[in-house]
Amino acid sequence: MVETPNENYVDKLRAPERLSSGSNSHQSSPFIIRATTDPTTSVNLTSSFSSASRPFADDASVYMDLASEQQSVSTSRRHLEHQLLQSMRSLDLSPRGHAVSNEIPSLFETRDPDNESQGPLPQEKQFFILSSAGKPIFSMHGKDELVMGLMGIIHTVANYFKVHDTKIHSITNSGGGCIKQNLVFIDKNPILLMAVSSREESLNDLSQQLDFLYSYLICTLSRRQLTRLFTKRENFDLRHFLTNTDFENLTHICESIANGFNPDFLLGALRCLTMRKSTRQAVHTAMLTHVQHAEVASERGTVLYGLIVAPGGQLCAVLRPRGHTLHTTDLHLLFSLIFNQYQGLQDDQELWLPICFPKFNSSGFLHCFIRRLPPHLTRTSPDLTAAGSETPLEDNREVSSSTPALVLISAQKESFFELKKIGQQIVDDLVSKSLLEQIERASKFGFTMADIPAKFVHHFIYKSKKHVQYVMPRLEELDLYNNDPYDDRTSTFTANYRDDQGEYERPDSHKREKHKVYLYKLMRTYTHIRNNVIDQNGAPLNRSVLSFIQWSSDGLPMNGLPHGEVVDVLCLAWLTPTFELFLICNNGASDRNAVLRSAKAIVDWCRRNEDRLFVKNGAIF
Amino acid sequence: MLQFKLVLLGDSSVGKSSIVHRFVKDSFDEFRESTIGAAFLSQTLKLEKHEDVTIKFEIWDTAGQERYKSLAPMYYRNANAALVVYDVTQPGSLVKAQSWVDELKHKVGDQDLVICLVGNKLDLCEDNDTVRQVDMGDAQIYAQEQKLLFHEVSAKTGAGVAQIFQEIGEKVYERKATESAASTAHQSRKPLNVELQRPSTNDSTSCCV
Repeated sequence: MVETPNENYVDKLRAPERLSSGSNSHQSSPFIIRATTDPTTSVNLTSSFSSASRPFADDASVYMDLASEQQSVSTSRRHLEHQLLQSMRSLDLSPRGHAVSNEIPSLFETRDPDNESQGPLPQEKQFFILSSAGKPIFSMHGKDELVMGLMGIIHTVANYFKVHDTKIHSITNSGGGCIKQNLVFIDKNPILLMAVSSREESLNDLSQQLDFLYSYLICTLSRRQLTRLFTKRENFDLRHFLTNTDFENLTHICESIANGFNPDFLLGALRCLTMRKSTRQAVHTAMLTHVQHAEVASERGTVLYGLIVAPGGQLCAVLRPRGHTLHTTDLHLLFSLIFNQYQGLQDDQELWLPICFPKFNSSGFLHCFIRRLPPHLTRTSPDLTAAGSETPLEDNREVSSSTPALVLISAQKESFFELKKIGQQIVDDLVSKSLLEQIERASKFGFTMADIPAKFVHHFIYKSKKHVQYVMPRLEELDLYNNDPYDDRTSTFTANYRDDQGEYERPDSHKREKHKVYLYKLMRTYTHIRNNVIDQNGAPLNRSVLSFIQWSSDGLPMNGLPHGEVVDVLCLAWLTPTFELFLICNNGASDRNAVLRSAKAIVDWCRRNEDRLFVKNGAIF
Repeated sequence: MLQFKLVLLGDSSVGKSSIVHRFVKDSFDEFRESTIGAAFLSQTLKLEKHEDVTIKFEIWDTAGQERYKSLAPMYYRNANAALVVYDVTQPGSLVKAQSWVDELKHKVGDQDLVICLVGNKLDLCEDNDTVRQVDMGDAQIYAQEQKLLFHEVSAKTGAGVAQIFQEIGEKVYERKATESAASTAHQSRKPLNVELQRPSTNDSTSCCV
C-alpha cells in the first residue's frame, strides 16, 4: 500500500521514538517565518496575498494594500506568484533538510495509466453490475467478451454467499506478494454488484459505493419497474433497456468515485456552500415567499422541495416541508445528474426530469424542474425573456459550467408550467436583490486556509454530523461531477515544480492533469486517514477518536516533490459525536502539539461560523 | 407576439436536441449528452413571407428513450407543431418516427397539428452515399400520404434546419390567422345577435332559468 515512505501511527507505542529521531529541533523555525522574509515557506503564502475572493474579509482591499506594500515590485497577483514559484524552485539549488512545500507528496502507489492493463480486472479498482441470473449489465473497465467470463464467476461466488447465508459478502485477496485486493459483493435481487479495489478503502466504503451505483439504477428506473422487468423474464437483458445516457452516467459515477476528489461518498455528507448567514437567509426567504404565494394560488403540494445547488454539488439553499428532509444519497444522485447533463443546458433552457429518489420512495417518480441561474452579468428582466435569445451568447457560454442551478421538485408530472412560473419569480427576486451575484461569487471562491488561524495545515475537511454536511477550504478548479471546467485562476496547489519546468505558463491540459493527480492524492490520503479511525462497518472506533498518522521517508526523491525534499507528512483524524475533522499538514510539519492546536483552531472556527458554513434548517413551509 | 408550442419527437440519438440547438444558437456540439426527461426552451422567429411578423416557439425537446414514452402526451398535448425526427442512416429510426406520427394522429386532432417529418444527419451521406439507409423518396412518399411536411437536414452543417422552422412557422401562423379571422368574424356576429335579441326578450336572466 505504501511505497517508499514509512508509515507511522503516532498513537501507537512504537511511534514516538521514530518521530523524535527526526531533525525536529531546527525544523520548526521556517514555518513561522512570513513569506516576506523567507519565501520558501509556503504555509503563509496565501495569507499575505489576498485573493479578491474571501467571503469573510469584508474589505479585501486592506489585504491587497498589505500585499502591495510588501512586494512593491508589482501588485499583480500573478506576478507575485510567479516570483514565489521561482523562489520555491530555489529549494532545489540549496536544499536544507526539511522544507515546507505546498505540494503534498504521493503517499500511495500511483498507477501508470499507460502501463495499466486494459483487462477487466485491473488491480486498482473495478465495478461490475450484473443481473441475478448472471447477465452482464455494466462494468467499469474491460471489453464485453473478457467481462463475460468474469461475470459468470462473480455470479457463482455471489450464489455461494447466498446458499451459505453468510453475513459477510467479501473476499480479501492478499498473498503471493501481490497487493491486497478487496472484493465486495452486494445482492440487490434482481441485481448483483461487485467492487474490486486494492486501495485503502474499507469494505464498508466499497459497499457504499456499490449501493450508490445501485441507487443510480433505481433513480432512473425505479424499483418497481426493475422488479417488473425481471419478474416477467428472469434472464432479461437490462442492457437493452438502459440507454447510452445511463451507461455514460454510470461510467461518470464510477470515474468520480475511483479517480475523482469525492469526499461526498466517503463521508456520506453533502458539501455545503459557504455564504453569509444573512445572504442565505435572504435566498431562503425569496424561495419561501414565491412557493407559498403559489401554494395559495394553486393547490397545495405543487412544490415538494426546492434546492439551489452550486457547481461541484455544493448545497446553497434548501426549501422543504416541515418534518421532511431528502436523503443525502438522493441528493448526490440528483446533483450528479444535474452536473452530468449540465454542459447541454443553456441559460434559457429548462429541464423537466422524472427521477426516482431511492431513499425517498423507491417505487415512484418525482419530477424535477431544473434551470440554471443566469450569470449575473446578463441580468434578465421578466419582460425580456422572449428576447432572451438575442442576448450575446458567448459570454454566457464561458461561465456556463460554473453557474448554480435551481431545482424545484414536485410529485405532479403535469406541473411543469407552474414550477416554471415559480422558478422565474424566484430567479427574478434573486436577481433584483443581487443575491445571484453573491451565490455565484461564493461558489467560485469559498474560503481558503488563510481565513483560518491554523498553521501547518495544508487542507482539511470538517463534517458537521448534525447537518450531514461538510466544508473544506477551496481547492482550485474543484469540480466533482464535471471534470472539465478548469479556468485560468492559478493555484498554489496545482503548481508542481521541477528543474526542467521553469516556465510559468503551461498548457492547460498539463495543469489540469497535475491538478487531477493532486486531487487524487488528496482523496486517497483522506480515505486512508479516515479508515484508520473507522471500523469495517463504518462506525468510529470509539465515541471520540483523535489519531495522528505520519508518513516519513529517508530522503529519496518523491514523485511530485522538488528534488531533495523528503516526505514527512502528518495527518490527523478527529471524530466526536458532533463533528469529524480530517486534516493533512504541509510536508515537513511534524510538531504534533502545534498541529493539535491548529486542529482545535479549525474546529473553533467552524463552530463559530456554523451559520455561514452550513445550511442549518433551510426554508421550511 | 403569437406563441406556438412545438414538440420534438423521435428515437433516441437521432439528433433532436442538435436540431434545436442549431435553430436556437446556430451552433453544433459533436459530443452532446443525451437528453434526460425533457428540455423546455423558447425561440423567436421572424417570418420571411410575412413582413413584420415575429412569432415565438415554445419548444419541448423530449428524450427519445423508450422509458420516457409515457410522459410524451404531456408534451404533445396542445402542441401546434411536431417535429418527428429520424436518422437517415438508421432505418429503425424511421419506423419509430412513423409510430410517433400514428400516435400524434391518433391522440391529437390532425387538423390542429402541423407535423413535419425530418430526416437528420444528411452530412453523413454527403461524402459516401452508402451510409444512407433511408431513401429520401420513400420517406417523402410516406410524408405525402400522411400529409406531413418533409425535410432532410443536417444539424451539424446547419443545412435545411432554418427552413424547417420557417415553413412550420408560416404554416402555424397562417392557420392561426385564418382561425382568428374566423373567430373574430364569429365574435363580431355574436354581439350583433345579442343586440337584436335584447329588445325582444327584455329579461336577460330569463334564458338561464
